[in-house]
Amino acid sequence: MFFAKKEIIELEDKNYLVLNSTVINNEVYYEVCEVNLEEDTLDDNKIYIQAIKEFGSLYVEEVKDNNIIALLKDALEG
Amino acid sequence: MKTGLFTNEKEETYFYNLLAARKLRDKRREREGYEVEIETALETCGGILKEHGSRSNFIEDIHKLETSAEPKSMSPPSSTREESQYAEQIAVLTTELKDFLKKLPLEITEDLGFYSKQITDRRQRRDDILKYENNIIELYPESEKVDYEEIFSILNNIFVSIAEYTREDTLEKEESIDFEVDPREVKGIKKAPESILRKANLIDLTDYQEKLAQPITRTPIMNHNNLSDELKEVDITEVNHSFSANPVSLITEAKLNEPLPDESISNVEKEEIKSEDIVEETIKAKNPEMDVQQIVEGTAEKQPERVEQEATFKKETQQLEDKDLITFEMPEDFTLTDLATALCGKAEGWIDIYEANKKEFDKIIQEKNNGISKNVENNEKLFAGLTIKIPVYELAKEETLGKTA
Repeated sequence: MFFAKKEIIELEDKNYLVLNSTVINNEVYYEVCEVNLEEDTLDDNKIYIQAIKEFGSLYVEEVKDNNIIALLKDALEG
Repeated sequence: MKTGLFTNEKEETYFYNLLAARKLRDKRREREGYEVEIETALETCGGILKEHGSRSNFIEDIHKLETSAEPKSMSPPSSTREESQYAEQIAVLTTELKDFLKKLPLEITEDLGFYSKQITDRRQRRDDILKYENNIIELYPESEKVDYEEIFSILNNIFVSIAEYTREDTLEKEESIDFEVDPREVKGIKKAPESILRKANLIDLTDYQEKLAQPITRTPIMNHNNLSDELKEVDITEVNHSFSANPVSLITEAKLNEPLPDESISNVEKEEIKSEDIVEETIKAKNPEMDVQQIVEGTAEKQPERVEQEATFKKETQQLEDKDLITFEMPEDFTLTDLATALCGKAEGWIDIYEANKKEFDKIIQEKNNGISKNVENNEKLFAGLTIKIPVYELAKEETLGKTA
């Protein structure tokens, strides 16, 4: 687990709040939403990401596979 | 089609190996998802069948046999003896399953039919993906053992100039493979501010532990109903300043009644005191039945002892008499019972909180809840944002006193 619930993931131009996380098929997925810390607002749209560590850097990648997203929604809402 | 993107064949090979590796990874994940769905559906079927007295999970058994019977080579299905044996076993199990289903209610049969169709569908999709994966591996054998470090070093120049090749006419070859712009590098991780957590409805009791664990600021409630309490409140610091005596903060009724020796204040000072009409009036106003001069003489003379006694008395009265309070801003989605549970471990403690804030709460109930006080302790919105007073429970009080002592 690279991130914990209630943490802010800072990317170069965006920030994401970690809402939840789950493991499916030994892969960790995070449910996040974009936040604007300056305006103190958050986006209603939830997105799902995975974290990858390569060459000493941590990367996040959005999950776009609809089947995985459906499994994630089931797991996180259930 | 020659795109002109690559300066040599090696770059092109590595580039497509990279894309193939990504595609392969995505397809494997998708296939794993279908396999999970198949397993889940089989378990569900097994549960239903077992519940209705089936000797085994026929659907799972048939699925296993069908999977085993799938052709391992390009030869047609059931071409070998082994595969024909599987077919026979499948037929037997299918017949047995059909017979069993006849005994079951219609809705159960429909449920099993639904899951069977789902299993068949997911198997088909899984097999399609498997073929797709095999095609990728056949076309790009190196894609299974991609060394990203090597690829990035070789393709560095490609990535720099790739933006120039995003025109439509150069994308023909890439169309069949989805190129992902992710991943994005994480620059930092930090704790979310409370305001954001509130908006995301992520606040829970653990967020208040720190606040609740802070030392309690105690505000004694003084009861002004009788004379003795009034006397505890008499602050004659102002009086003492006027005749240069050391300040004394409190005088008790009991001590005022003690006979006081006439020693330490000089006659001159006594004259000054007598001449201070304002001082006399102030003390008389506080206690018309007492002798003002006696009060002043007594305090001036027995000062160190009195200070000590008064401090002890004050401490005792705080411990024994008054309920102490802390103030707390009620968050949204937080009920009085939640708060009582967090403070003393008992939901019933909300009654004490209510009593300590009765006046404000009654007003809010009247204004916002049409005067209905039923079940207000579980109302999450009614008192949100209100700064309320919380009585310190005995346990918390003892702990705090122990620490300060």
